[in-house]
Amino acid sequence: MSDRLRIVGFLCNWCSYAGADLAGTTRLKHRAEVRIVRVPCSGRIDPVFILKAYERGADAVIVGGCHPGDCHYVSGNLNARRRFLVIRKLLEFIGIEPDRFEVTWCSAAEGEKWAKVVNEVCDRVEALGPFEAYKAITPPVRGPVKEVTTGEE
Amino acid sequence: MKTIEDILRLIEDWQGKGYTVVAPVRSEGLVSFEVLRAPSQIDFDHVLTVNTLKDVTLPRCETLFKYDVEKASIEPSWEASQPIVVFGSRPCDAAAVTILDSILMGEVTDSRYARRRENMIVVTLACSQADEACFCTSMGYGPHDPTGSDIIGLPSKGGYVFRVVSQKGKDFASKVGLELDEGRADPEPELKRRITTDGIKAWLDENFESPKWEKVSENCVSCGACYYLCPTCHCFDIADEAGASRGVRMRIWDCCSFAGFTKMAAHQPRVGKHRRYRQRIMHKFKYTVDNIGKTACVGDGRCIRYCPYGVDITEVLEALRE
Amino acid sequence: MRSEQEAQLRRRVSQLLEDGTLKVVLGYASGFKGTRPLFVQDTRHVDRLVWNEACEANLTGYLLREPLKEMLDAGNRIGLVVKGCDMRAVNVLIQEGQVDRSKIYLIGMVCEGVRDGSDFSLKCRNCRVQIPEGCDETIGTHTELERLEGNPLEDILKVKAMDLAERWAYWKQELSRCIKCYACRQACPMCYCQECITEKSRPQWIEKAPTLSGNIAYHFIRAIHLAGRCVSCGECSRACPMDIPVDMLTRFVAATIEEEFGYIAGEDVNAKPFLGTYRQDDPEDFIR
Repeated sequence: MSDRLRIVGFLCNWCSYAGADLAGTTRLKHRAEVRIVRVPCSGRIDPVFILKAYERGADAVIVGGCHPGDCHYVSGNLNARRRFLVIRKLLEFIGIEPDRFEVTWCSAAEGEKWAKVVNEVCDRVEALGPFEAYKAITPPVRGPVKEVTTGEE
Repeated sequence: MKTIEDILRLIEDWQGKGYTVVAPVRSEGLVSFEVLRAPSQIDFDHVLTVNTLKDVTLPRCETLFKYDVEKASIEPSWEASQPIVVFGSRPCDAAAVTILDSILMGEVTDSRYARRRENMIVVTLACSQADEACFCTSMGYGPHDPTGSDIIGLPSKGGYVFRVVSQKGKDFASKVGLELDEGRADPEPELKRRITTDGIKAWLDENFESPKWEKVSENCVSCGACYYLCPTCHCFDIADEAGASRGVRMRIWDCCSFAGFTKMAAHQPRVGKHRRYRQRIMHKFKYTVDNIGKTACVGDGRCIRYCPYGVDITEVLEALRE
Repeated sequence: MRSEQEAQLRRRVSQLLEDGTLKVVLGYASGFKGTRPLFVQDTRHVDRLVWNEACEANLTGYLLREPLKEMLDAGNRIGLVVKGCDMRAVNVLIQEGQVDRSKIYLIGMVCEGVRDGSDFSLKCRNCRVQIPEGCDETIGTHTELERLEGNPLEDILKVKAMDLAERWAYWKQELSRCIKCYACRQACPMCYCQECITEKSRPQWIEKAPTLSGNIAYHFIRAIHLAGRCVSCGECSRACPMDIPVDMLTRFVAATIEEEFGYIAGEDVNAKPFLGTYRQDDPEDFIR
């Protein structure tokens, strides 16, 4: 795994998180730069989560939700879809590569899709490089708090 | 008399001698005190900068210490102490420094403020013009008033004549070899705005509760523009910017017009914007007078100039006393 | 036309206060920066009301702030002098359930454009609402109106023409001046939250200090919170003492939403709030 990149994934509990889980249980290999935070619904993802992730050293953020029509709460993902579009456009307007904020619809059955998206996103972000622009404005003392390591790493 | 060119050469010399020079710099429409990169950046034509010398003595935010809970460590944060020459402040801003000195280096000393003050030399350029918001003469100062300056340059025939005001200024002048000038200063500019402060303190002493407070604060929208740009307002808040186990504790300007000002666990002692506006007026024209014997207002007029909704402190004072 | 409008405005306000229709009228008076808000409760003060090119401010925000909020809550009816563009702000407040339409009396001024200094305000360019709609009464004639030329998004296009690195440098420079006085928020008619996210400290999402990262976070989040709500009145920038074009962020979002979704905040008082609803066919080509 690249020791430079750090990507935060906010995944909805009902679809994307289960999809990522499936990728794991089916022993799919994908890149390991994404650290996942489980949220109840993609509609729960507040734009401050994204900025906070950048502030704490994330090089990109990926958000996962249910496919349209599959939302556990009927329309959380559809409401969020509008917000995500605005966030991406505004990031671009202030000079941040929109690829540092990715959105995917991924169902609980799409372990393979999740693995593919992760690989693609990691490649893209790798091409962009670490998010130096944001790191430069964040004092290091407020940077990432602590490395959490799992047994495998 | 020294011409502008003479002055620019002087500043270059001071910079060469290791002084950090802070002076008014114009960037698009805004003139503000900034650390000077080159003497040619100085703007001589403005009436008053948008920011004040607070940016030097009591910055808008500063780190007090860093901490790490896991290591149980606290690391105080002090910026490197360096001699700073403030060049081109106006007499009102220099006068404001003396007020902050009395408060922050009076009964209790704010060590951070005191350290910066010790290292700061104020070289004022007196005013050759005033705008509609200026009212320093009403507050007992004036366009050529030397209060608070260490050295003052008075406008004279297109240049400036420099005079020493304080011992600190004298020492500085001899250290850098600044020659003082003979010669007459131009007459002081006339100020259009004029009020008398007679009776204001007496009215405030008696009228903590008065229906007038609501009337005079009607237009206020509770932003902090007047406070943040005021040369004498000095309230601050302490806040942590923290991660899970480590962080920094910071001192940040705070403002009495904010709804959250001095809000404690479950209680806001000043509910309603008129009570918070009252705090502003009371603090400036009563409490500070009680404590240090002078008002915390120098008549620089920034609060009038920058209030988005036209709250006018001179008008308010007159309305209160009426 | 303006002086006639001003005379008629004074007459009408005087009548409305006298016959008890209204408790107070909020309009414009002369002030240091041209004009400033004026609360008229007493008919003796109607002569202080003015109507001229300096009436740039959008006064709608006062409806949700002291003292008007208390007066409205107490059941009083309040008069507000509005331009066509200000009506959009009023509409959003009604749409969001913040203002009871029957409790406010809107005096619409037919508008020939307002000025920010010597130039016409950006918001006046290509104005489609010189004649206000949906007011209780309108003052001014509909003839002899001259359409103001230009593109209200001129400044935004300039930033869009930059590449990413230039934009980032531009915004870093602009936002580094922010002193977090919150004049932009307090001036904004849509920033009416009882507690702003900037004031929340557990957890503290947005740095309290006016550091560059804290400033960027604040203005970014503010723009997102105003998505589909910003009516591009420019009040935030007008209020900013540090001359930061903060309204560009919110107006950019508004323009994006108009372009992508065809939604214009405050145009239709019965529309569902933009972020509170969705369409099945909303654009999603950016989603993987």
